[in-house]
Amino acid sequence: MLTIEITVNGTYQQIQTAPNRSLLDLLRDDLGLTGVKDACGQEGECGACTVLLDGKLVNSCLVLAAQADGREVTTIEGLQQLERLHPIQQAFVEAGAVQCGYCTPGAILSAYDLLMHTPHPSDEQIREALSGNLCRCTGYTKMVAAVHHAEKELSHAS
Amino acid sequence: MPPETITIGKSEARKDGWTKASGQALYVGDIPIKHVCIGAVLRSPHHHARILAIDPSPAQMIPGVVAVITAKDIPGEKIHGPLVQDQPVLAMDIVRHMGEPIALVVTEDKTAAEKALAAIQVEYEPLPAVFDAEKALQPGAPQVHPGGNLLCEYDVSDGDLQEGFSQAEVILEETFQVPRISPAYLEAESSLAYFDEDGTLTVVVSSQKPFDDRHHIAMTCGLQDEQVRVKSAVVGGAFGGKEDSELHILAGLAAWITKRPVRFLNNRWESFLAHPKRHPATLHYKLGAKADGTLIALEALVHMDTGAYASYGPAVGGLLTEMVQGAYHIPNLRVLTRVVYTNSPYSGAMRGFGSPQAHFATESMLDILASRLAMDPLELRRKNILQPEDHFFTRVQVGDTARSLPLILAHADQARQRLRQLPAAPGKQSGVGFALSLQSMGLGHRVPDDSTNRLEWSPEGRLIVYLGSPELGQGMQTAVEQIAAETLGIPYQIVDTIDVDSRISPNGGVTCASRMTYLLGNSVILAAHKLTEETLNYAARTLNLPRAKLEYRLGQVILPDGRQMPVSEFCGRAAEDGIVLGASATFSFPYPAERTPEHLPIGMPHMMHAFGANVVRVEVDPELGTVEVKDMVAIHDVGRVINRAGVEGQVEGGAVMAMGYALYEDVCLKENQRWVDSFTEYLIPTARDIPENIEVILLELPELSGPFGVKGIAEMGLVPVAPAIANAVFEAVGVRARELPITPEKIALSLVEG
Amino acid sequence: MQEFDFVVPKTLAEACQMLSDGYGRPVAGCTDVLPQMRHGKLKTERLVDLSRIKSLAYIEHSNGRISIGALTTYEQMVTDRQLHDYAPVLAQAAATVGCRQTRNRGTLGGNLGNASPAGDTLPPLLILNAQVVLAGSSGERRMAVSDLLLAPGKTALLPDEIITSVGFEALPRGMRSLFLKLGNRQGMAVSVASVALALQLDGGGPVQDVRIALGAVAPTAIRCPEAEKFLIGQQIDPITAGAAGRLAAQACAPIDDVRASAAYRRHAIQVLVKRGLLSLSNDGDSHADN
Repeated sequence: MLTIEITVNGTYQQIQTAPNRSLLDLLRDDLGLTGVKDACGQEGECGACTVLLDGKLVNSCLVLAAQADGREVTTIEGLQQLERLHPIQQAFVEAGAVQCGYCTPGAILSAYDLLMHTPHPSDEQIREALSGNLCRCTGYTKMVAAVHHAEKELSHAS
Repeated sequence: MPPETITIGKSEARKDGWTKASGQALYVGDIPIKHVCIGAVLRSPHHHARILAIDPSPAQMIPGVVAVITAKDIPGEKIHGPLVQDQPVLAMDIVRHMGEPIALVVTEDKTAAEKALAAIQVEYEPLPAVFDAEKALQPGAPQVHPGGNLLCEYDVSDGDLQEGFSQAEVILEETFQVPRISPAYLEAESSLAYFDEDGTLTVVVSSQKPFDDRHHIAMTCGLQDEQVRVKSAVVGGAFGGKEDSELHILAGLAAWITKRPVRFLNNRWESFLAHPKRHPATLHYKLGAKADGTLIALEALVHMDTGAYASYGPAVGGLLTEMVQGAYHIPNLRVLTRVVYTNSPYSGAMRGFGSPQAHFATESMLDILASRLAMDPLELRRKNILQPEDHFFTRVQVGDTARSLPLILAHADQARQRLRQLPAAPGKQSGVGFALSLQSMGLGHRVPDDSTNRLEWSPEGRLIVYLGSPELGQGMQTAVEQIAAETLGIPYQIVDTIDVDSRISPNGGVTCASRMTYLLGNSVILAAHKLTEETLNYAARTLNLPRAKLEYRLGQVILPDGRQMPVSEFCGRAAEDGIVLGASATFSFPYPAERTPEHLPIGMPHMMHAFGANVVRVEVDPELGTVEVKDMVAIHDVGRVINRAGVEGQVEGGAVMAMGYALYEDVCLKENQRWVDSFTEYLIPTARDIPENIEVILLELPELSGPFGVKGIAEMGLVPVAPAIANAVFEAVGVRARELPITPEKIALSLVEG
Repeated sequence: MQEFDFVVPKTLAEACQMLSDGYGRPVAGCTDVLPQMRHGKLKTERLVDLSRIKSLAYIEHSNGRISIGALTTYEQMVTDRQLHDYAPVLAQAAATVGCRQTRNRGTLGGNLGNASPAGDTLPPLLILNAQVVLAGSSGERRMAVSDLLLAPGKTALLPDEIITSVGFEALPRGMRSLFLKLGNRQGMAVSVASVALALQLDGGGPVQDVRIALGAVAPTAIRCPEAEKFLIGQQIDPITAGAAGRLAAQACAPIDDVRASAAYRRHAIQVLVKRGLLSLSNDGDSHADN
């Protein structure tokens, strides 16, 4: 077992973990952050486990828990403040971009990462940014609309 | 213009949106439960083998292993199946497909589960296997089941085929092939079984049919249905694939035997190998027409590979047979469909339920005919579309729904003209294609097809819907809430839905078959009327006024003097009196005897239909053969829009799913004799693959028996897309795809070979 | 997933030491190694995590030579301006890898060490005549990328050796380059066939220098000396480009698999090479998609 120090959604913790566990395992099983999903069997193919690791968008299934030692992780649970949804989350709900919801947390984090780097993305940039997040329900169209929605909200706010 | 509404037609935000977007929604894998054991399944590594011996003892000795369960430990029925009892809960003497469950392990942690699975000793004698429906029917083919490989056969005809072909001036014969498709919902199958506070075996399922699951769990455990409680978790997509009880049976069994809470989460590869797929099929068509394009005869011979177990194969075969006719009047028509066992992963229900297969063939065939006759494919269709007074070859009268067809064609024509103006990117060739579609609603004649749901006023005056069928993500719940709100004249915001729990929910039936908004909506309207009556009766008693003097309007009780009292006042009083103001109602899908042909097999005919079309513009790289769908116009008659964003979401999602069917997806055998079983090799469309523009045109020709005029929408958005793409590819580069998926390779190599 | 030890060296020397018994496997972004280990395709007793050796993540340019630390991620290559100026073909290739999530993790060293025939940075490195710098317990050595790649998943690395950096000369002024990739879908595409090209024309006329490398069509990424030799001194036109494409197709040794047949891969290479040459000779307008 290894002991790692990790800051998750702003909270510093020390956790023991076996070397062969992924960051996804740690977040879900040890920390109960079940907004982080596994849809492909931890192969890095679906993006459902997307989180921010030191501010960078990653698939948490492809990061060993031990590799997150000393780092900061933001999950979907860390995006909202108390009961208020983040404007991107709100936009996904209002635009009808949420159906079964299983891909939603990951897709929202990808949208967040995009809008942090590119405040006014084109449709093409949005599709590229969401291309690591498989969705089987929506056909992505309403997700693209939701990101534009959020773009406007965020630019008003700033 | 439709009348002014409170909520119908509006894109109300779904109520579970908040929990889903915030990551709080609890799917089966997310439900916190103390000391829950890991359940895992030992699955067959062979396509077909005799099991000579199973020795679980090495696994039982591993620390952390609670139990290893094999077929001999099953206290009740050892065989299950939704239509045909042919599927062992756990394999006994034979495994018939790769991935078939053989044993269960229940362990304290994941590591012990991995070790235990590896430690169980199974001795196999591999047997020859067959993976093709036509080959499986040949003499000497490996036998999958003792009764032979032909699971069932439909032979339905109308008119006189010989006479029809003798009048034909053109006769075409073509063979089409469609692949095995994974529903590929993002949440793989999952099930959690535990004992609730009073010791009842409780199974939380990700399922389209919790009440059926309960029955199968009870049978396997040797219990009565009432001794098992099922609850619906948030469901991460289903598309037909979660009309399968297997994992829920295994979870229930494991908990019942070990008396411990156990959670089973299928890995993605298990979902590929051991859960239902869309049937692969070979469709041989012989089509006769007059020189002016009038269709006169069609004979179709269809072979469907249902895999190792029947699942819903027989029912899919029936609907496929019906859907071959498509949207056309064909006076002489015969369809012979064979549903065949093989050693492939089993196929069953999946979005479209036979319709996508039939439409690919029929709608491709029409374009081939148009090309042969040098006719405009749209004109050819216009000439042959069904009229309201026509009959399907099942003898069901088409009825008013056919009035949508000329409108759909007009929209398709406009869309086609517009898309044809768009230039191709340099080096690419543009093509515009379209296809019409027919989709049924409901389960078909002589299949129980009804739904019971319940409404209650809460003590605060909110409306509670006890939905008897699970929401799968598609938004049915929102539509039902809107229908309830509209009927009772109250805001959508004060309607809440309770998820399915067999202890408190009525049985609403399986969520499937494009029937839920229609069925549940009607049931909820009936319940709302009963609830209004109940409310007024209570108000009359409370106010000591005659019932006849009171009226209900928009959430208010209207007193004889015109004063209004909000329902909430009575709800509060009723609660204090220990009275619940509530009402249940059952709605049954109408199969009126006078209009329902009786000569057909069970599940036939379907009585209610809707039509649609899809127009696409593709750009094909004439050298590499790659196809990009650039523009899409989806035109569908939905009867009445309840939630616009929701309906559009169904159409868009279905269309993109169908792009995968058309261009990428195939659960096929690889060179190493293993199936494609991961998202690394099974490619579903990503956000970069979708058309730049998807326009959804919704027609609203009401279904008079539907709630507010609703028709079904869940499947038909998918149905016309693959043939539309194939037809567009033909217009672009002159290559006729007779086989899905249309890979770049197939196009490029046929262009090279000329 | 199998059990293994996980060790985190702080320095290169430490890392080599941890690998010296031959039971370890270096990892960084883990985007290839973890899925392989989950499938049981790769087994190891010890993962040696290089990702803390900060000195290995850099892109440097001096005196016309580019040096890229092995821990540089695809995303860093995509956004690095020097790379766009001096070896755009490599930046283009990096941009086609996976999705942002994987580009943020996967590294250049990993792409080399993994030695997949479909590794997207490998054809560009071949036409850049790149050399890898390897550190081992017995010191440092250099090796051409073409010598490093032996077979699918197999490199010339000794068990205790680590790829520390990749170096190459910036493309000469006036030499245009391009990466073309064909996948089975647009998003998160794995190469079915890929081509890296660099072309220098003599004053807009005949070919002065040309370099062609192919991906996903042989056990390793390969150069195409026959096609290159043929083109020297020729005018690029549809006929010569087509002929070069055919020579390239002859040079490859593709396999049939679930992604594509060998015949189609060969065909695709011919098309991509021809197309790439024509595109570079026309306007040098380089785009990574096709």
